[in-house]
Amino acid sequence: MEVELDVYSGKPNPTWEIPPDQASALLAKVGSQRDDKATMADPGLGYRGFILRSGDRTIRVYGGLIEIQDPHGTHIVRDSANLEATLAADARTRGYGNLVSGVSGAH
Amino acid sequence: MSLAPLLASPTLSMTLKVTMHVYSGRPDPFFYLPADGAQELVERIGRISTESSVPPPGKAGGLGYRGFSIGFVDSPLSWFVHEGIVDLGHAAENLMEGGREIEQWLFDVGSTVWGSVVGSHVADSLAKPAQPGSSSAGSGGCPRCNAVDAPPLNLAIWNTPTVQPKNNCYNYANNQMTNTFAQPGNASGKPITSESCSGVQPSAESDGLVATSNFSGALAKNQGFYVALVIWPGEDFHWYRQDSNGCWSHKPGKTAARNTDNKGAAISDPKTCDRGPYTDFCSFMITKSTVKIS
Repeated sequence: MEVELDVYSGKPNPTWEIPPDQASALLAKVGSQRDDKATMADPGLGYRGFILRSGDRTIRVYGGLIEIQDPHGTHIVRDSANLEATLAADARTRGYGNLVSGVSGAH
Repeated sequence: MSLAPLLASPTLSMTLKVTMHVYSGRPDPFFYLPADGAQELVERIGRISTESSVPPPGKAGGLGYRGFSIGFVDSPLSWFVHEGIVDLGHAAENLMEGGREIEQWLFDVGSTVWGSVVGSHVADSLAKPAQPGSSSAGSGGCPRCNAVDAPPLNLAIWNTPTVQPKNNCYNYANNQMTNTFAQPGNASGKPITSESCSGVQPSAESDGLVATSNFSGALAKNQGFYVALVIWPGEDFHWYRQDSNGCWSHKPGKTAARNTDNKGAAISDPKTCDRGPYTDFCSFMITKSTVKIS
């Protein structure tokens, strides 16, 4: 599974690959509690969350919400397992700590 | 300027449709100017002798009052008047009044068409002096755009599934969709050396952009338009561009192009807007369609 740290404007975003077993553990954190009234924030410049690409699914994780795009459409669920913090912790181990310093719960 | 050929045109024996551009959601109010009124309008325009290198600012859009358009029946020709600048379409160069008499006259002629609220708003706008090229005021609270080549604000063409993820801030600022997530200096063999002003600006200059101290100088046709380079120190670069409406817009990475800053406010000057972590302002620059990026 590919993980993209959505943070840059001019340069390409940092990306890395997660092996299948770790990917399964991360995807298990994607909740099922839909929130049809929520909308993903778009802060503009700076940290904008993580984008996961797994098969035909694209999953955006940001600000306590997870947006899931698949062939059936797009919907949003609550990030109740704090997947964003887990991803931020992983980003730190890869040398991107300064880019995710503002992620709540990631410290 | 001589408008004799136009005066002799059969089209001017016709009624003209005058539209006041003021609304965003509702249709703009309009009235029909009969032949004698059309004659007077042409005579008023014919008395203007000063040409303008900038278009009427309201022609590019904005919120609130942004000028009058004058349409010709059975002809694609239309004129536009705002802030003392008269755009005669392809018929002639733009003209610049000393004041705003033509707008005031059109406002008075159509005074029974608009209600008191709109009328008061426009009267307030017309009470402000128009000094194109020297005033910093533009349309809808935007500064004046002094570059004829400045692109119109058209976010929709950038925010499509096939364009948005493949074009970044450098593409957007230069108004060039290369679908390569363009990097300063790539096209000219001088890639950036660091995420700093001194590490990025020379690469942009190598591509053909030219640094300038501000965005107030007039740029005639084919002389390009204004962009601005900012830096997230040690991390990244970012670009803004000034659109023909005078305000600035940008495209953060793969995300949607927009005309607001990180606070959601319109951008009248990228030097002072909320840029998030892009704290270093490097320079205004001039780009043009002949600049090559990749």
